[in-house]
Amino acid sequence: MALHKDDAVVLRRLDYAETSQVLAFLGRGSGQVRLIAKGIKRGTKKAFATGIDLLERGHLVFTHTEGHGGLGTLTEWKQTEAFLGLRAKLRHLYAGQYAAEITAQLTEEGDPHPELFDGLVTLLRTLSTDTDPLVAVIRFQLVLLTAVGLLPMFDACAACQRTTSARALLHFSAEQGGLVCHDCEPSVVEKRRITAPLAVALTQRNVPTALAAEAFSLLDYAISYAMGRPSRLGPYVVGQL
Amino acid sequence: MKQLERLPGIGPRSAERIAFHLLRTEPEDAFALADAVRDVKERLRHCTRCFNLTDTDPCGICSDPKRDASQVVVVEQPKDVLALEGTGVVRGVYHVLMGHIAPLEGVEPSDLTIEALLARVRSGTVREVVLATNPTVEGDGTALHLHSLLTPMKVQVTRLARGLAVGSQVEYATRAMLEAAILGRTAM
Ligand SMILES: [Zn+2]
Ligand SMILES: [Zn+2]
Repeated sequence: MALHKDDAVVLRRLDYAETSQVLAFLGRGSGQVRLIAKGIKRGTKKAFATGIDLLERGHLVFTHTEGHGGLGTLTEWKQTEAFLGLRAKLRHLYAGQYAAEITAQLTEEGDPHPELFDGLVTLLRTLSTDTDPLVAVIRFQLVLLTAVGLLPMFDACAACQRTTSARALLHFSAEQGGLVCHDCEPSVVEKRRITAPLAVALTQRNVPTALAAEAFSLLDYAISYAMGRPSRLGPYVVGQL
Repeated sequence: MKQLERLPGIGPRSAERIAFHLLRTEPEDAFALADAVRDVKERLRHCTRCFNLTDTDPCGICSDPKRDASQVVVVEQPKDVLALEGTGVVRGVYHVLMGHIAPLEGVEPSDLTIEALLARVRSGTVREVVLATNPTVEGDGTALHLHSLLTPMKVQVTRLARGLAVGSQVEYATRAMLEAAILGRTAM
């Protein structure tokens, strides 16, 4: 079986049987990769003896099972970046896990997005410093939505496509895929109101810190709609849990 | 043999070996084993104070007058108590969380025994809480969560040292281990 290599970040890991784990990675060149790491919890395999943690980056070597959605096998992992600073503050740690959750949910196997991978690494580096996690996460939400082709329309009405001043776009509909104008809004069932300053900020793609909480919540709403369920980490990121 | 095979770590061949061994042993030995298995199921439960697995309540550690009840070592699993007890170094008592906060897998703070830990600390007899959760994303997250809850309670909060594994070699350590070891270096 051919060996594949990639630069990857760990998105998810689940215990499997007594000593194994199933891991989901985001590979720069391979997109999402789900692999079984046999015997990883016994700690005897030299190739990944110290275990593999969530959100770490490393050189990934794996074999792929063709078709049938079968799991490939992890053969080697060498950690290259640990983002330890992430663990200094709870909100930073939750923000990192939020990124892992939405990335795992909205990406597919065999569909690589190098710019998304780079965005994730940038986010994890930023979260390892003292900066406001929310602003960094919003930037990543936009990178992810763009990469998977689900970026909502912020500069025109998503229903009638008319360009109108941002102040007339005071509703957001995930189903319509963006902001909805004053005229279209009454006939749209699934929608939520947003404030005029946020509409302007989104149109200009420049969200100031003062609007970060509102912007995060709106983008999380759009992402949750695409995932088909509310994000688990969203409430943790804004400190509600 | 089918029943034996269902035990963790026992394959068909081991199950066969155990079955033949039991056939050869004296009846009273075989029945003693059967009684022990039944006892585990009927008598083993969680200590109401520390949530460790025990057949007495409170458990042997909690009821030992020689232990320092003012030092509480917080761990994720009963298995971790066994591991730490094996060192013989812990003078205090334990608190088993019964897991770690793992929002990605839907495990919330309220799923753990955190309230019971806070109640123990509130009772005023605890001087130090030692956070001994795993140094993973979830374990560290759980430690940070506990730290934020314990900070206003005027109790000393410490956590296990992190970095190089004793007996290992610098050359083979991961980046995370090396970084943690350098940041957490101690004076000699
Ligand atoms: Zn319209
Ligand atoms: Zn006890």
